[in-house]
Amino acid sequence: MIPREIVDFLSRASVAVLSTRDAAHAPHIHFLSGWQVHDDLESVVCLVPASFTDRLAEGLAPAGRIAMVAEVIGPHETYQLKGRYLEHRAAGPADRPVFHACLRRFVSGVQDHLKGRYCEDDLAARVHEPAVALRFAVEEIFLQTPGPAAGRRVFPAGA
Amino acid sequence: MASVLPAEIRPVLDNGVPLVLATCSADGEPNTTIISQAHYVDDEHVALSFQFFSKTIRNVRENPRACLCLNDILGRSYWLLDLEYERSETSGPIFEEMDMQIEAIASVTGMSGIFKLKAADIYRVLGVRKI
Repeated sequence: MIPREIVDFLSRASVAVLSTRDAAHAPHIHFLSGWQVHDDLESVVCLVPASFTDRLAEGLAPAGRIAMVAEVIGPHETYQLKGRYLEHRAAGPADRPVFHACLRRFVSGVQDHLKGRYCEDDLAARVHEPAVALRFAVEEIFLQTPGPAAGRRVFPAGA
Repeated sequence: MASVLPAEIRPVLDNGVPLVLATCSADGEPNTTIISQAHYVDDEHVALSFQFFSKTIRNVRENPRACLCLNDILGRSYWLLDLEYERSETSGPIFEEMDMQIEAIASVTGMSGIFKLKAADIYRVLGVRKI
């Protein structure tokens, strides 16, 4: 089960990115338009915009290995979740609240941190409409907040 | 897909917005990390900072392929670079410039003294896409 602190963290995170890799072990990056811990508390649902679905299928085909990094902009609080692809579907109306919540957190996170360096419209334009909802099982979680503890595994417990 | 960095990417590399780097271990485990800067070397190479012995550093030394995503907020676009690790430099103009930039970023973000450049890792550009 995903630790409570990580569930809370993901509900506060302002940006998140997924990585996959193809059969030749070349990695690919997919910026996310939204993310949410699934009701099973074992997996995460990621909303991928059409602009970042290129190579997604080939990235999931060989072994379905996934790495997701998420950050709270400002304090640089960052975790990486690693796991295995479970399923995907077309994004739909039910995903809109998650998309809009993540969009709001990104815009306010950057504006609060960078004090008006970018306008709201420019920031909002970076979070594209979701096209695919992908779910992966979380197997490991690593702290990535910059500093001496970066890289420490925080899940599974006791690892 | 282009394999030469276009001139319009230079200001994006210098905009100070964090970037995302993905690597993959030899046994096929992807890794994603947020990094503070990428340095333009020439139109076929970029340099990334090696500050800690991280999973990223281990990965590119056993599997040189990497993917870098640049954020152009004002241009409302992303740039995806497919990369291949070539070598590390621990002295010289690229290293010195990156070292100064890292300290500048660290002081702005309140993390002065946490970051220390061990090497400038040089990557060859295999492909460039604008999204």
